[in-house]
Amino acid sequence: MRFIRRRVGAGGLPRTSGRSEPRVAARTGWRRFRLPSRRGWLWRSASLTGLVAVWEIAARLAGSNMLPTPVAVLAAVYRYTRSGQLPLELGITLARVGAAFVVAMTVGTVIGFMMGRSRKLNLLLDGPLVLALNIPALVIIILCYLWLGLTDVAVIVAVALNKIPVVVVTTREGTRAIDSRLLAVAQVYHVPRTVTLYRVILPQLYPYLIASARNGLALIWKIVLIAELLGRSNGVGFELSVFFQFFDITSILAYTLAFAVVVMAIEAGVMRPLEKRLLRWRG
Amino acid sequence: MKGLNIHVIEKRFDSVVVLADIDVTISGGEFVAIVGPSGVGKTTLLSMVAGLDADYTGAIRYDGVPLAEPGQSPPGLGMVFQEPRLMPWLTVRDNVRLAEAERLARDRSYVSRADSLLDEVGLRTSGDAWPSHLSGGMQRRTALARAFVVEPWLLLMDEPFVSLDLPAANQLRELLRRLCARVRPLVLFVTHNLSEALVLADRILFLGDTPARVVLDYRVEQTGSHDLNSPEVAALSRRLLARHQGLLSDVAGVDVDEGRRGKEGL
Repeated sequence: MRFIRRRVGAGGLPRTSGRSEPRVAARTGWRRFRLPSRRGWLWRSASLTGLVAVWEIAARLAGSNMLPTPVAVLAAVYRYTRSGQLPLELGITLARVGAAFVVAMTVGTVIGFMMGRSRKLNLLLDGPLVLALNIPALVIIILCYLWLGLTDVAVIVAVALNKIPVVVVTTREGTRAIDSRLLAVAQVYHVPRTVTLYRVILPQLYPYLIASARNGLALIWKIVLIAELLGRSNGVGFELSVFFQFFDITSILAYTLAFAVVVMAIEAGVMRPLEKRLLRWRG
Repeated sequence: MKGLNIHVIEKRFDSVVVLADIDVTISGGEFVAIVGPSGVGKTTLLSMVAGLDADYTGAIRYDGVPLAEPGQSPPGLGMVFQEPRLMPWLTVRDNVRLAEAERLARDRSYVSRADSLLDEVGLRTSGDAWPSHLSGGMQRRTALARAFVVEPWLLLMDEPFVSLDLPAANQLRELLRRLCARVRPLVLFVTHNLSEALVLADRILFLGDTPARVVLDYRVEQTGSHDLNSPEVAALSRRLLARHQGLLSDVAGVDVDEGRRGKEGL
C-alpha cells in the first residue's frame, strides 16, 4: 500500500496498466527499492551466461588457436594460478595501480580544490591543465622512462601524471559547487577549520571524488599495462607482451580475464560500499 | 556607550547605496524586530552584524568595543537563517552538535547539550534522522536548537518562519518565546510582517527610504496577545500605521492586511 501511495504521490501520475510501471519507477526515483532484488541478479547473470555462450559457439565455429574456448581459457587461468605466476604478476601490477591511484587522487584533489577556491590560481593553471589533458598517455610514459629510467617510480609518475588532470577538473567542478550558505553557518558558529573541512566541505565534494575515483581506477589500470609493456620486466603488461610475441592468445585471454575479475571485485567490494556509506544520507 | 551599537555610514553594492546613516543602540536582552519592505536591506544589515559582510563603512560595537574581529563572526552568536540551512549529510543531532564543535574542541569538560536542546524543541526522537526526512517545521526546530545550544547572548534571525503554514509558525513563535525567556539573548529579528513583529518584539526598527535608514524606532506596547490575528494586534498595527502614515507609507501597509487574512508573509 505504501508503495502505491508513493508512486502516485511522487510521480503525480495516475496508476495505469502494469506495463508502464518500470518507467514510472525510474522517473520517480524509487528504483532503489528494486535494484537489490533477485530479479536484478537474474538479469546480470543472464547477460553473463549469454556472453559466455556466444563465445563458446564462436570458438567452436572458428575451431582455431585464434579464438580458444572459454574452458581452455579457464584451464589456463587455473594453470597459471597454481604455478603462482599469475598471482605474482597480478600483485605487482595491482601495487603499481594502487600507488599511482593514491598519488593521482591526492595531488589531483588538492590542486583541483585550490583551483576551485582561488580565481588567480585557476587563471594561472588553466592553460597547463588543458595542455596536460591532451598530451597522449604514451608520450608521458615514454618521456618518464627517458627521464627517470626504466623504474617503478617512472611508471607510477607517468600513470599519475596521466590521471591527475582528470581528477583536477572533476574536483574543481565540485569545489565551485560548494554552497557558500553552508560555509556561512560554519563561520557563524566558529566551527574549527578541520571540523569545517570534514563536516561541511568534504561531504559536498564526495560525489565528485567518488566519480573521479571510479573513473580513475578504470583509466589507471589500462595505462599501467601499457607502461609495463613498454618498459618493465614484470607485471601483467609485461607478460602480455611475451604472450603477444608467442601468439599465445589463450594466455592473453586468461590474464585479461583474471585481471578484469579482480578489478570488478575491487569496484564491487570497495568502491560501491564506500559510495553507499559516504552518500547514505541521500537514501 | 552601553549595549550594541550599530553605526552604518554607508553600505553599497557596487555603485548603489543600500543602507546609509544608521545609528541605533540596543541594550542587552532586548528583542528587536527589524521591519521593512522586501529588498530594503534587512538581510544585508543582519549579515553585517553577523560578520558575514564586512564591506561597509561604519562600525558595529558592543559597549564601545568592536563586536568581532575583522572577517569573523562575534563570539557567542546564534543565527537562524531564512532557510534552515542544515547539513543534509549530518543527522539532526550532529547538526546541532556542529554549533558546539568549537566549545567541544576548546573545553574538554564540556558535555554536549544537543540532546537536551532537541528535547526542548520537541525533537527528542528525531536525533538520528536525516534532515531531509523531517518536515519544514521540524527542520526549523532543528535550526532553533542549533542556535540556542550555544546559549547565545546575541541571536540574529532572518525571517525564520516564512513559508510555513500558520499553525506551524505559531508553534515556532511560541517555542522561540520560551527559549528566549530562558536564555535571554539580545535578538535582532528580521521580518516583513508587522503583526509578527508586534507579538514578538519589545521594540521595532522600521527600515525604509532609499538608501534605507531607520525611519521609525518604535517601542511596542504589549498587547498581551500572542496571536497574530487577534483584534488587539490588528488594532495596534492600525493605530501605528495611522499615526505614522507618512513615514511608513512604503513600509508595512500590506502586511497588516495579510495579518488580518491570516496569511504568513509572502
